[in-house]
Amino acid sequence: MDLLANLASGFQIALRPDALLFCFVGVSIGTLVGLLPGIGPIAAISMALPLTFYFDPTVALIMLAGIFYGAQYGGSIASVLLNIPGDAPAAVTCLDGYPLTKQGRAGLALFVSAISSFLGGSFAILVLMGLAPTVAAIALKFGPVEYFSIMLLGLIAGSTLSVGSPVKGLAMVTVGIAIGLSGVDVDSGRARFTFDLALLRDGVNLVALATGLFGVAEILNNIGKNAAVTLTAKSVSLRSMIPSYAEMRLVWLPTLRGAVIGSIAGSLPGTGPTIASFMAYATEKRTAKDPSRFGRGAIEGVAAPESANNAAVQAGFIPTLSLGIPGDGVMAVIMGALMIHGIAPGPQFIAENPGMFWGLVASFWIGNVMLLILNIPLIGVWVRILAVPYYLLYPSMLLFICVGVYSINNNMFDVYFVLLFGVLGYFMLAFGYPAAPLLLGFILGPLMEEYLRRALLISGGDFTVFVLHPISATALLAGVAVLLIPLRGYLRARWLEHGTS
Amino acid sequence: MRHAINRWEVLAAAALTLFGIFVAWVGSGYELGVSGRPGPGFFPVCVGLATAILGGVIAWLFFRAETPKPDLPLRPFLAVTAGFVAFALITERFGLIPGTIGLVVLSSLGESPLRPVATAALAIVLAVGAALVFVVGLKIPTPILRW
Amino acid sequence: MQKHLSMMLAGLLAIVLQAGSTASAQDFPSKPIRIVAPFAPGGSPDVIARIVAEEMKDDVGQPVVVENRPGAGGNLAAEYVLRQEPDGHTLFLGTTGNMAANKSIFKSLPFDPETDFTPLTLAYASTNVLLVRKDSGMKSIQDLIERAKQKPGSITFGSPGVGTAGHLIGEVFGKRAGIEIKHVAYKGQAQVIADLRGGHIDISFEAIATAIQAIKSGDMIGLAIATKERNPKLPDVPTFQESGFDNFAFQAWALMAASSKTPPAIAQRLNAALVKAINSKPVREKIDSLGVQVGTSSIEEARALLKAEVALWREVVKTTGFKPLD
Repeated sequence: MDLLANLASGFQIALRPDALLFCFVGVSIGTLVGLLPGIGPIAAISMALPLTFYFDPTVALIMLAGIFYGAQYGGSIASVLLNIPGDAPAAVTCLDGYPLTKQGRAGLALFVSAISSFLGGSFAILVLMGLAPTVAAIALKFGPVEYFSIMLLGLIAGSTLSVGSPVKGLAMVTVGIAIGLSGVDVDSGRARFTFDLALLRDGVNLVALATGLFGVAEILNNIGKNAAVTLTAKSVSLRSMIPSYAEMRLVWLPTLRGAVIGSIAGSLPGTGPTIASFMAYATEKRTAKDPSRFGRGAIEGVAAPESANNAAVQAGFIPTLSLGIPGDGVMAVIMGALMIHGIAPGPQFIAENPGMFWGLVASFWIGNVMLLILNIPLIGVWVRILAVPYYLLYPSMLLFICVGVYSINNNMFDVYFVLLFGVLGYFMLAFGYPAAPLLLGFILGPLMEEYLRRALLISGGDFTVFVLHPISATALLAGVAVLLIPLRGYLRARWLEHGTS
Repeated sequence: MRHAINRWEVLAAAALTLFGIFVAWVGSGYELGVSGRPGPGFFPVCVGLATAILGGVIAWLFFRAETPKPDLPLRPFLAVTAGFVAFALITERFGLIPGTIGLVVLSSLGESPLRPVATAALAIVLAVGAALVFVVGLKIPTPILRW
Repeated sequence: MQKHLSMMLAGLLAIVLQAGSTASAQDFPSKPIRIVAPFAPGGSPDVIARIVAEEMKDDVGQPVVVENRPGAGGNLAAEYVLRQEPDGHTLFLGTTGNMAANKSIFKSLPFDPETDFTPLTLAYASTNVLLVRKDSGMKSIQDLIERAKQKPGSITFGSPGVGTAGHLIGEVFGKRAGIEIKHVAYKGQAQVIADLRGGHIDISFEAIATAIQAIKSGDMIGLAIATKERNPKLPDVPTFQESGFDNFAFQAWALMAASSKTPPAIAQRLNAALVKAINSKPVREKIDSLGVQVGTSSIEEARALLKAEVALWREVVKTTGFKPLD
């Protein structure tokens, strides 16, 4: 009852004309910046920040949050249509979204992505409403030991998340980890693999890596091959966008699982949307009856990560608001905005600012509905991008990539990096080495090292902590299980192969 | 029937092994630490060696694989590389408009037949559009045009 | 001969241009002013720069924009600023780290903060508070020292990175208290506070903004504050001085700087505009709500502060035996 009353008061705030207007402004800006590679929500939120000094703090927060989750909707569009991930979580959407586009089913992929994002976001909002303080208290139990085991589980689960040879996939994971090693080592403060380049002190930029490996490599591969997607009138019709009954049945469970994974990953300050997407995708591939469909246009491969990353974004407000611990850079900026308005996020936040908390939660829902209404009619428009002849499309894509990547650090160095990784991705594609495991290794590997060394430092070099901490032990067991399941299938397949030849 | 050695697969695997050895070698230059307190060099050495070993495993698994010779045309590669380099160099010195034109014109050389009129039109539209959207709208700090 | 001539010409031209730019102090600024922040967006210094920029634009009659150029501990941004025309249109947001401490923390810096930059004014000063969990059972510095002496090496302290103020202050504290505390490095303040709250580490020397928020929320207590006097926002937290640590005072400050080649008249004009903006009521209020103290100064005062701080951190690095980073 209390909950309903709170929510009702929240809607009263979120439905005020000014709140509605700025919620709309926020989600629209978010969709736009999400579309452009490199120009992420952090940049947009920082730019909008000074404007919000003149706002009521709740409205300011509603708008800034709108930019953040709006960007997640936008991010999937360029991934599905052009294989250009706007940010890291969207790279996962590329894996099956782009193959669907090549099959002329871009409309369907975008529709499912929008609906799944909406459902994932909604699920996380429910968690935020009902369980924020509880979840926050549990999240604090996760220390270096637990995070290490989770990262290890993530690496194991994700290491075969692409098509093709598992050994090549594994090799790409280690190459990804190696690339991720570049930069200042957190534990010792030593610069590693920086080759005396000042810019490498902070490591290789994630967006430059993802955009190069996926976007530029795909462009290099397509030029001159007339391999670009052909667009028929049928592929933009409304009929083709709406999933069939069979497709809906295929999608609803993955969406739900993605929402759960995303809500968990978002609630933990040490994980976020990117890890959520990878985990959700890996889970679907692992549990699928026919894992070989993944990477070749499986609609669940779009639904699960999209649901997960949106859920993670919404759930990310739990540690930020109820602990005062921002999970990532975007949350840090949002927290800064609150503090300027004289509001300190922390365990007392919800009790002290019920109007703001419930108003924000209500606005999430309104914003997600707005995004859905905004996105579905636009799908037809986006899909028509594919009708542009490739000789006009690809130089334009390259421009967006260049400017977007430049804007991350305002440094041209990153543009050369995109080219470098584009070329690497091009060769990898040609030789059958998958890009997704490389990206996963790049993201998780350095985190794993960081947590491992921190855990050992705190425990005084005692390795048993990893099996003695219950959460960590569970994650490690899950990792072993994940490792054994496909091995059985692989061995059986090899045995059959040899048996028949 | 036995197939000939697949040179391409072996070459790729060898590159992987070399990369792994390189990583391990550079990594061994940092302190390795002790058990229970790994130093900054420990992880890189492990990762490098793992990569090198996987390269060996791939070479062993694939050296008689029937995968076709990879198709790697040179022209798109050169055009796109030239485009990127031109964008980076020109934009820093002369601004986003000439940088965009350089990128579009050079990268368009990758596709045949050449369509000079379409490319020129695209370059102009994109240059103006990018200046408006990115510099005026999104306030990305780069000059639009300077000499 | 010809070479000499052209060199002379070039030199003359440079003098004329220099003079030209000095003379134009009247119509300064002639284009938007950029404040280059050496961090990613977010975080106190960046947010404060944006607040100041917003306030300053009416006074100078030109837009003032904040440009983020993160990387290499601030070195990339500093080098970038020094590469720009020294006409006062590009400012640098300097902090304790990149302007004072880095000189001793790194083996070599690509620039000299004292000679390559003219500090225009101080912007704000903040400090560090020694935080512990309320349920840790430690109520004073004495409790902490006692516990550390009972089980040497059992106390861990977190910091947002090797060579940061939080790290070095902790090392100085350990040395002065004669105890062994183990440093655990993190990637940022948020991670430190998360692990401190969760009980994975024992203590942290937190920036006061974070500390106020954490103490207010009720699950943390401050054992001591690294200033000479108690802070009015944390009246119950004693100073290190009170707990028997003489001269244990550290500030984290931010200042605005420009290339030292900037014409003095323009530097003065910038000082006036910045001081006015920083001291204005709306800016004061907002900076105050972040928990840090507004403090402006003249160019000379800022220069003196910079000199004193460079010396202080050189001393810190010496006492702690910190091995400079490459």
